[in-house]
Amino acid sequence: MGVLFSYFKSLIGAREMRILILGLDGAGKTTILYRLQVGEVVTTIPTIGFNVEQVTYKNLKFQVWDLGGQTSIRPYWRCYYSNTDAIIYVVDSADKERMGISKDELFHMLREEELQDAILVVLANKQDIPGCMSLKEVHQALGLEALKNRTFQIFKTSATKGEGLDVAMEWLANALKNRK
Amino acid sequence: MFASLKNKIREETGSDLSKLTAKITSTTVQKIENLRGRSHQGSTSSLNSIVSSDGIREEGPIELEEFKRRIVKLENEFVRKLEHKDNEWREIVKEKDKRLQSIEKEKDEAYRQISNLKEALKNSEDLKQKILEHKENSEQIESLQSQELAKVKQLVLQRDKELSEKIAALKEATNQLDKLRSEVGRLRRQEELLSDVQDDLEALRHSSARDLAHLATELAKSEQERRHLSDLVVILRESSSNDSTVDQRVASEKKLLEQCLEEAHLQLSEIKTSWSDKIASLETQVGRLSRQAAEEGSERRRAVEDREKLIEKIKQLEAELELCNMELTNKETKIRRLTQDVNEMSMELKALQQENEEEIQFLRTELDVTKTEIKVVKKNLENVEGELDKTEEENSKLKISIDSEHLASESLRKIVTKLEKELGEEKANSLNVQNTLSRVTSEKNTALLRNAEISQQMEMVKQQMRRQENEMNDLLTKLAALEDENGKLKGSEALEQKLNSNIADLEEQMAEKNKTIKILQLRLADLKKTLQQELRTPGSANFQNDFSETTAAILQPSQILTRNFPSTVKRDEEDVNFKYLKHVVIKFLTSRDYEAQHLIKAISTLLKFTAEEEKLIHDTLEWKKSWFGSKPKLPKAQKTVSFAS
Repeated sequence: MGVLFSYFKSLIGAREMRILILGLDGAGKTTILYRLQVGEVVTTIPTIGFNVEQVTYKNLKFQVWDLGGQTSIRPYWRCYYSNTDAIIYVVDSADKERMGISKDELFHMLREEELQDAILVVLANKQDIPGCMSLKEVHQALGLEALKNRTFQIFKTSATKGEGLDVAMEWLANALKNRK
Repeated sequence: MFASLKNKIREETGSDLSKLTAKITSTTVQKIENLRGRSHQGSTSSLNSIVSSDGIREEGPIELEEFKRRIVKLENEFVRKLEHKDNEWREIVKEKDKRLQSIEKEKDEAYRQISNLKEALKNSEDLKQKILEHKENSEQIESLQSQELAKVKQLVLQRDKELSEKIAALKEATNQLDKLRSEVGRLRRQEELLSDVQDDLEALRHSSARDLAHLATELAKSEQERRHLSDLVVILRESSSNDSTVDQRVASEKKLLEQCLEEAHLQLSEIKTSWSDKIASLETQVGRLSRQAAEEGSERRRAVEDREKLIEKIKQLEAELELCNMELTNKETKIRRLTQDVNEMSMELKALQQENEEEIQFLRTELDVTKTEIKVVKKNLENVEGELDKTEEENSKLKISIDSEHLASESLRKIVTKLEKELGEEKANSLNVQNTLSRVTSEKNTALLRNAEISQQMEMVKQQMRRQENEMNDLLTKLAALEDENGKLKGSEALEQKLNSNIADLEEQMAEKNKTIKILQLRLADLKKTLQQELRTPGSANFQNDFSETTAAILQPSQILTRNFPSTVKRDEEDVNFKYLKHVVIKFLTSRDYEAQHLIKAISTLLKFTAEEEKLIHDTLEWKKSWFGSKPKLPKAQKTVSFAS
């Protein structure tokens, strides 16, 4: 009886996973979102506001929010933090000058009480650009070694070429399943 | 007043004032004479040119000022050069520091990577162990499976044996049954024979009875005939008695008849004996037959009993057969199940093996990746070491450049001292001039006092210059120490940082000193200005004008910048904020309920809602989402209240 009930619950009440894509402006958040949703590269303009899409991956439904990353609208990120299951933090690997700002924003975000249980996925994006920072350099530049008590993983991706996103989503799906 | 001034001059020049004055007087007289000659030509630019008795008040201060200007210019130049060199040097040091830091970082990274790789190796080893365990488990499972299979097979074999035994028994029973049936058939035939024999017996009895009746009738007939004959004999005897002749013939006839009678008697007795014989033989035959019939009956009964027994046995055997069949089907199902189990287990085993293999492959790839990473890290380390060597070379180069700079600064300092000496001379000259202007007024006295003050300032300046020099030396020594430390170890970052901080401090101090020098120079200029004013000289106005102009020129652009920048930024931000608000509101109005709920917070922060307003929107959304229409009045009431308030 209990098994049957739980089965029905899983069938009907399968809650959508709420995921936020964050990062500085021009990191490739919107491109990643639409790459995940339709599997194609779309031409994007700077997001002033946000995009929200349904993404299904391996029988898991995600409600993915891509929030604009411009400096003046970054403070509004915190309005979206409640009930978030996972954060995809996108970093432009070729933008070495603003890596420090990116790090500050990341750690400022992770201090939020509402995100204490959220899983973190860092995407070192734009790996196709020559002379970009490697995965380790990004890892070090963001100071991820200081992260404790958090489920997180860093992946190198190229949204325009579609590399690395599958691995990252696979990991994220597994992490979300295991957490339940 | 004069005594202190003199003392100061003595300190400064190291010579007695009287001597100096003597010197000055002698030199000045000559110079004055020279100037007198030259003043007509109008040269006022030379450093040594000073003041004639008439032109003291006009030309002297101008030249002094010019001289001061030059000093200032030179000093400025020197300061600029120094600053330039300092900047260069600082840049080089910074670059070096950066490189060192980057090298350190890379090294740290390499160590971290190595540790990571070690961890990965450990993990892989653990995984290998796990795989081995898995394999062992799978082997155990396999052995268990095989054992179970063997057991099952044994059971099956046993069952088969039992089955075959049963079948054999059944066959035996059927054989027996067949035999019995054949016997029964034979017995039936015997029964038939028996009935035939009985029938024969009956027929024989019947025929014998008939013969007996026939014989009895014949016997009765013959006895009647005998009686008849005996009657005849009696008659004949009576007649014979009557007639002898006739008697004789009757006697003969009687004799014949008696003979006939005797023959008939004999015949009868013969017949009787043959019949009795026949009857006896028939009786014996009947007895035999009856005996045979009894035997046959008993045999038949026995056969019937056997048949019944056999039928029972057959039934038993059939039941057994059914049982056996049932058991057989059970066994077969069991076997099927077991085989299914075995298949499933083998499948599981295969899956496990595949998983293990996958895991192994994954680990191998990881191992390869880590190996390549280690190689890369080693290469990086080598590169870093090469860079370190380069930086060391650069360090040595820097040292050389610093030395050269130091030499240059020393030469500059020499020039400065020379100039200062000249200044001193000039001051002496001025003093001399003042002396020569023996009709000194009280104003002149004060002027002299001012002069003394100037000299004091100069002294201070000099002292500071010396201090600066010392500091420069200190700096250089520290730099040397730093370079030594650099050469000693790449890892002593902390020390180097300390040194760097020291350098920075010293540089700051240098900057401060430079600032103070500038301030002092400004003050000197002010003092000189006041001196000039007090000496009532024209031409100072120009200087002041220049000064004021330059300061104004410096100040203006910064003011403009500060005014313009924030306004543009603010406009941009407002634009972006407006766009953002617009976008969020549109999304809020068009989105699904679930998304809209998440947007409440964003909208309320953007429009600066109060907590009540936020709650109101939240409640209305909840009401819209809910299925029952009982709530609409409550939020409306709240709405009116909140708007009223």
